[in-house]
Amino acid sequence: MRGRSFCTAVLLAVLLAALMFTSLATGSYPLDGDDFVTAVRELFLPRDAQSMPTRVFWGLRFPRTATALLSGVTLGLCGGVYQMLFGSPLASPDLTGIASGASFGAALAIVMGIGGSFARTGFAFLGGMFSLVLVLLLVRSAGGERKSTYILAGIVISASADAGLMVLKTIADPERQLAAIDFWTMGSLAAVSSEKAVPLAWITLPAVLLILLFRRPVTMLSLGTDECLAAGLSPNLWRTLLLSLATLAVSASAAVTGVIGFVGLIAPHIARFLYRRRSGGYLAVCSAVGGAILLAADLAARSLGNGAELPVSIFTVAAGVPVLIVLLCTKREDAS
Amino acid sequence: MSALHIENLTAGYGKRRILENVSLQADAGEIVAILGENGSGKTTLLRAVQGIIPLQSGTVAVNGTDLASLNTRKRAALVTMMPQDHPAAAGLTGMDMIETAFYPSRGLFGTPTAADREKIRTSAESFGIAHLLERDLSEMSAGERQMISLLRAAVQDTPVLLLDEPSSALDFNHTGALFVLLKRLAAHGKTILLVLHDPSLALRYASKIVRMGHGTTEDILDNRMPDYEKIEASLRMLYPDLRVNRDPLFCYTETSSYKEATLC
Repeated sequence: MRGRSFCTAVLLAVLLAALMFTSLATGSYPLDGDDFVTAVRELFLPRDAQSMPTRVFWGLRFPRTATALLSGVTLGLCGGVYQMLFGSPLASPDLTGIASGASFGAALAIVMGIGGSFARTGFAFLGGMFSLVLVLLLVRSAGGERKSTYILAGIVISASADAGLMVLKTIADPERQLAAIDFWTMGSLAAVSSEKAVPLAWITLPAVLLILLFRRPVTMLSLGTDECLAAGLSPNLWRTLLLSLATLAVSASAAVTGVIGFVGLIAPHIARFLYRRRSGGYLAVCSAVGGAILLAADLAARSLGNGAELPVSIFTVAAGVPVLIVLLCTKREDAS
Repeated sequence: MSALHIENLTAGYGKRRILENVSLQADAGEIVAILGENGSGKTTLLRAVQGIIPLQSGTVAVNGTDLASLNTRKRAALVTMMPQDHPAAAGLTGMDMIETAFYPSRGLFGTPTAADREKIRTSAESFGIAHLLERDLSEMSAGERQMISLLRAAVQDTPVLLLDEPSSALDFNHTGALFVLLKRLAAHGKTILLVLHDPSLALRYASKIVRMGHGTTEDILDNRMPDYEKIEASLRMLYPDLRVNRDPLFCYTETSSYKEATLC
C-alpha cells in the first residue's frame, strides 16, 4: 500500500510538472526554458524594461497556468469531499447549486450591462455564495440531519437558478449578450489575468489547505451521523463547515473561469483508482488529479482551435465521459 | 455514586415523545441488558444517553459528570455507542474506522501512533477479526462490520459503553467472542448498557435486566442473586411462553476462545 501511495505521488508530481511546463510554454508566442529563467530574473524590473518573453510569461502564461492549476485542484478536492460527505459517487460541487447560482449571477451582470469582466466575476461569486446560503437555510428549516436533505436542497436551489438563467437568456440581446452568457456557462480561462488570479488564490488557497487539514473529519463524516457522534465529532457543525469551505472555493473558482463541468465528478474516481483508499492522502490525490485534468483541458482548449479559444468544458467532458465509462466497466463498486 | 446515572429522562424526535421519565442506575463493572418489544424505546434510550437526540428533560451523568454540560468530544471520552447500523463506506478499511476511536483523546490533528495501531491489532486478534483490519468496509458482511464497529467502541476506552443489538448479525462463535469480550471489559470496570432481543443471553450475562415498554422502564430485575420466579414472571409480560431454565443451554466462558465456544 505504501509503495502504491509513493508511486501515485511520484506519477502525479511528474505529470503536473510536465503539464505546467507545457502550459507555460505553449501559445501564439512560444516560450522555452531560457525564457522562463529570463522571466524570473526580470520579475522586479519596471514593466518598460522587461523583455517581451518576460511580459508574456508574467502577464499571460503564469496567471493562466496558476488559475488552471488552482481551479482544477479546487474542483478535484471539493468533488472528493462532496462524494465522501454525501456517500454518493455522483456527488460533485454542482450539487449545492453553486454552478447554477454563479451562472445566474454572471448572466445577470451581462444582461444588466454592469461593468466589465470584474463585475461579472463579482456577480458570479455572489450568485454562488447566495446559493450556498439558501441551501443551508433550507436544510436548517427542514431540520436537516440527513445527507439527502442537503442533496434535495441543492437540487431545489439549482433548479431555481437554472430557471432564472433561462429567463435572463430569453430577455438577453441575442447579438451581444446571449453569446457572452453561453460562453461563460461553458467555462474558459482565456480572460484570466493576474488581477483575477491573485484574489482567486487568496480565497481558494486557504480553503483548500483547511480542507486538506480537516481530512480526518471528512473521513469520520463518511461513516455516518451516529458513528460520528459516538466517536466525538459533531456532524452538523463539521458538515456545514466543510461544505461552506468547499463552496467558497468552488464559487471563487467559477467566478473567474466560468462553469467547468465534470472535473469535480471525475477527479475523485480517478484518484480512487490510483490510490485505492479514501483515507490518508486521498483528498490530496483528488486535488492533484483535478489540477492535471484542468491543465490538460486548458492546453487543448487553446491549442486545438486553429488560433481560436474553445470552451474548456468541451475537453473536460470529452475526457471525463470515457474515463467514467471505463471505471464503471472495471467494477469499482462505488462508481456503480 | 453510580457510574451511569439516568434520572427522569424524557426524549423523542421533534415534538414526539418516545421516552418518558426513564430512570436507571448502573455501577462500574455492570452489564445491563435492555429487553423490550420493537418500538418500546430501547434504541432511543441509547441514542439519548449518547446525545444523538437531545433530552427534553432529565439528566444523564457518568461518574458524576452531567453529560449535558459537555461538548460532543468530551462526552465521547466518557460514553460511546455501537449503533444498530454499521457504515459500509467504500474506500475505508476496518483500521480506518477503528482509528476514529482515538479522536476524543487525540483531537483533530493527533494522528494515531504506532502503539495505538498495535493496540488495535492486539484487540482485533483476540476478537478473531485481525484479517478484517485492512479490508474495505464495503466488502464486508453485515456481521463483520458489526464486529469492526464493536471494536471501535471497545478501543475508545470509555467508562460507559452503549451497544445496540451487538449480536444481531453475528454467528455463534463470534457471539461467544462478543460476550467474552464484554465480560472482560466489565471486569476492568466498564459499565455496559446493551439492547438485546435474546432473553437467554441477558439472563446468562447481565447483572441487571431492564424490561422496557411504552417508552419507559417497566421493570428492573437484579440478576446477580436471581429470583428466578420473579424474573420469569416479569419477562413473561414480554415473552408469554418463556420459561427460565436455571441451567443454561450453553455458555461462553472466559477460558474459551471464540473458536471454542461450546454447549455446556
